[in-house]
Amino acid sequence: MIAKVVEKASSILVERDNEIKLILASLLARGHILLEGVPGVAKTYTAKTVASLLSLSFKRIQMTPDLLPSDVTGGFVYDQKTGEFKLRKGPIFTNILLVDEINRASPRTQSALLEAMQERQVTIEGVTMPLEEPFMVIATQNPIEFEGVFPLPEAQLDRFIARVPVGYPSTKGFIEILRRADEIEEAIANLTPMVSREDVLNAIKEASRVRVEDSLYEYIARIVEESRRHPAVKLGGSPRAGIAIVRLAKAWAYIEGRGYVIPDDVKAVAIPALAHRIILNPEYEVEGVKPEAVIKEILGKVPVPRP
Amino acid sequence: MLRAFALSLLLLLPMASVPVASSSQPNAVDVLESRHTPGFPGILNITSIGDLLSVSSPDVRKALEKLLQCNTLECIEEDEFTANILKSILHNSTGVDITGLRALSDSRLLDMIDDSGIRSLLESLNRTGNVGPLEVDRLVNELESAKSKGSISPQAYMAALELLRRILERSGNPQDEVIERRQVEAIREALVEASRRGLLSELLERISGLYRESQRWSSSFNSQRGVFAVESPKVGFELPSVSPSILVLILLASLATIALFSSQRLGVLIAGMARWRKGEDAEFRDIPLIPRLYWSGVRLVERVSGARMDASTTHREFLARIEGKVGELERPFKGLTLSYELYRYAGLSGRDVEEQALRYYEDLEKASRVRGS
Repeated sequence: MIAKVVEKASSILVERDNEIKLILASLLARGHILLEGVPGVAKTYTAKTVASLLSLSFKRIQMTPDLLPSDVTGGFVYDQKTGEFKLRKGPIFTNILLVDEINRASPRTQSALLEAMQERQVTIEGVTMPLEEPFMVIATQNPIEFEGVFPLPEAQLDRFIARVPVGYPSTKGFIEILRRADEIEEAIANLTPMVSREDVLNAIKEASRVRVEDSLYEYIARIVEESRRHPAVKLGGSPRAGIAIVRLAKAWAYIEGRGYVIPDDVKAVAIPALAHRIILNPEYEVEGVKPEAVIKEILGKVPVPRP
Repeated sequence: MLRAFALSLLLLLPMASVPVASSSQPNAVDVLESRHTPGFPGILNITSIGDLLSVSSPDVRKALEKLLQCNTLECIEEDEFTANILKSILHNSTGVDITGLRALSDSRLLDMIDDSGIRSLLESLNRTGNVGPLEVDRLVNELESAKSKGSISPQAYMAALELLRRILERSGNPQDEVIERRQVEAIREALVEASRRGLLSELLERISGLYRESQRWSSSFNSQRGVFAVESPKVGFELPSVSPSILVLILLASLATIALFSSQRLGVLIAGMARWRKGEDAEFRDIPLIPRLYWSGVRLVERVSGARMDASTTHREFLARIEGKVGELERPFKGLTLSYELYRYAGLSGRDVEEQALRYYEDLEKASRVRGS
C-alpha cells in the first residue's frame, strides 16, 4: 500500500522519488525529516503531496522570527463569555506537520517544537498532552540564507531521523517540469488520500518487524564507528545515529516490499541518516568537503557482510 | 606386454584421484584474483605463496613470496635476488622485461606499444599534460580491454603502464601509485598464468617419482589469441626406474582409493562432488551451500565480465554492474543472487531453496561453457 503512495507521488513530482521514499520511510520509522534545499526545488510540494496521499491530519506552519512557542504548541486563552481559560491547541496537534523554513523561527520556538518532536507530547502550563500517533514533522530549510535565520544547533538536528538535500532536477527533468507545471499544481490540489490512518499505523508496526540479519548490525556499527575515525570528522555518529540507520533501513526495505533488510537498504539510508549528525573539522569544511561525501567515502570502504 | 599394461594400470590408479584433487584444489589464478576481494572467506588464510602456487624450487618460492608482499616495483627491485629470479622467469615465460622498463626513455616506451589506439591516447596525455581522473580511467579501461582481448602484448601492456605512471608522477597526480600497483599485479598475473600447468606436473612428480622435468616454465604469448600458451613439461614414464618402495606405496594408495569408493560414503562423496564441481574454490569449502554457490558464481561472472566485486560492493550492486555485459549468464546469475539474498538476509533455507540455487548455478556454468566455446 505504501508502495502505491510512492508510485502515485512519483508520477506527479518530477525526479523526487528518493525524497518521497525517505519521507515515507521516516514516517514508518517514527521519525521526523528535514528537507534542505534552495528555494524553488519543490521541498514544500514534495511534503504536501506525500501528506495528501495519506488519510492523516495535516497542518502547515510558516516559520518567522516573531513566531512564539505558543503559536506552535497552543495555549490557554481567556473566554470572555464563560470567564474561563480554555485550551486552544496549536498546529502541532496533528499527524503530519509541515514546518516551512524552520531556521527562520527563533531558537525559543525551535526548541519548543523540537522538544515536542522528541517527547511526542506537549506540556502547556503544567498540562501534558500526548500527540496523536502517527506524528511526524516534515521541516524544510534553506541552507544558503544567513540573514534573519537561526541555524539549528547540532543537538537539535539530531532529533531528525534524516536530512535530505533536495537538489535541482536534471535538464531533462527540468524541461518536463516546465512543460507540466500547471498540470502538477492541479494534480497536487486534487489529491485524495490513498491510505487510511489504520493502514499507516499497521505499516509502522510491520516495518518495525522487518528482519535484520545479525551481520547487518555489525555493518551499521562499523559505518558509524568509521564516521568517528575519519580524519575530516570532528564529531562522528552517535549510537542514536546507528539506531536511526537501523530503523530507516527497515522502513526502506518495507517500502521496497521486502520483509528483510539487505546491505543496499543500509547504503540507501546511511547518508540521509548520518550526514547531518557529523561535524567536520574546520580545515576540511573550508576546503568545501561535505559530510555527504565523507559518508559516501566510508560506505565505499566498509566491507559488506560476507559471505 | 600384459605385465607392462597391468603395471601401467596400477600406476594410473592413484592418478585417478588427480582430477578430483585438482578440482577441489584452489585454482591458482582464481585464488590470486580473489585476494583482491577482501572480506571473502579464505582470503585471510592465504599466508604464503604455497597457498597460491605449487612451486617446489625454494628460490622461486622465496622470490614469489617477496612479490606477494610488494606493491611497488621498487620493493621488488630492492631485493636483487628476487628481482633477478622474477626477471628471468618473466622473460622466459612472457618475454616481459620488468627491470628494463624503468631505464627506457618515453619515446622508446611509446615505440613498444603495439596498440595504435592506446599509443595515441598516451601521446595525447603526454603532450597536453591533461591527466584528470576521467582521462586516466578511460586509458586504464582501454588498456585492460586490450589486454583481455589480446590485442596488446604483455610487454606493450607493461610499457603503457610505465609511461602512464611517469606522466601521472610528473603531473603530481596521486593515481601514479595505483598504476604502480597495477604493474605489480600484472607481473603476478603473468607469473600465475605461466605456472598454471605446473600444478599437475608437480602432482605427477609427487605421486610417481617418475617425472624428471625441470621446473622451468616455457611459454610464449600468442598475440592472435591473446593468451599465454604454456608448453607443458614432458612427462616420461620410465618404468624400470621405479623403486620397489614407491611401487608398494602406490599399491597401498590404490587399495585405499578402491576401499574408499566402495564404501557407504560413496553416495555422499558423489553428491558432494556433484555440488562441488569444477570451478568452485577451496576458499568456500567451509561455508553453507547457497553462499558457496553464489560466490563461485560471482567468480565465474567476474571472469566473463571483467568486473570486480570489491569488499564494499553489495550483491545487488554487483548484479547491476554486470547487467548487459554477460549475455546468457545474466538470467541464472540473477536467480542465484536472489537465492543468496533470500538465504542470507531473509533467513530462508531448506532443500527447495538449495535445489533452486543449484539449478541456477548449473545454468550459469552451462551458459559460461557455451560462451567459452
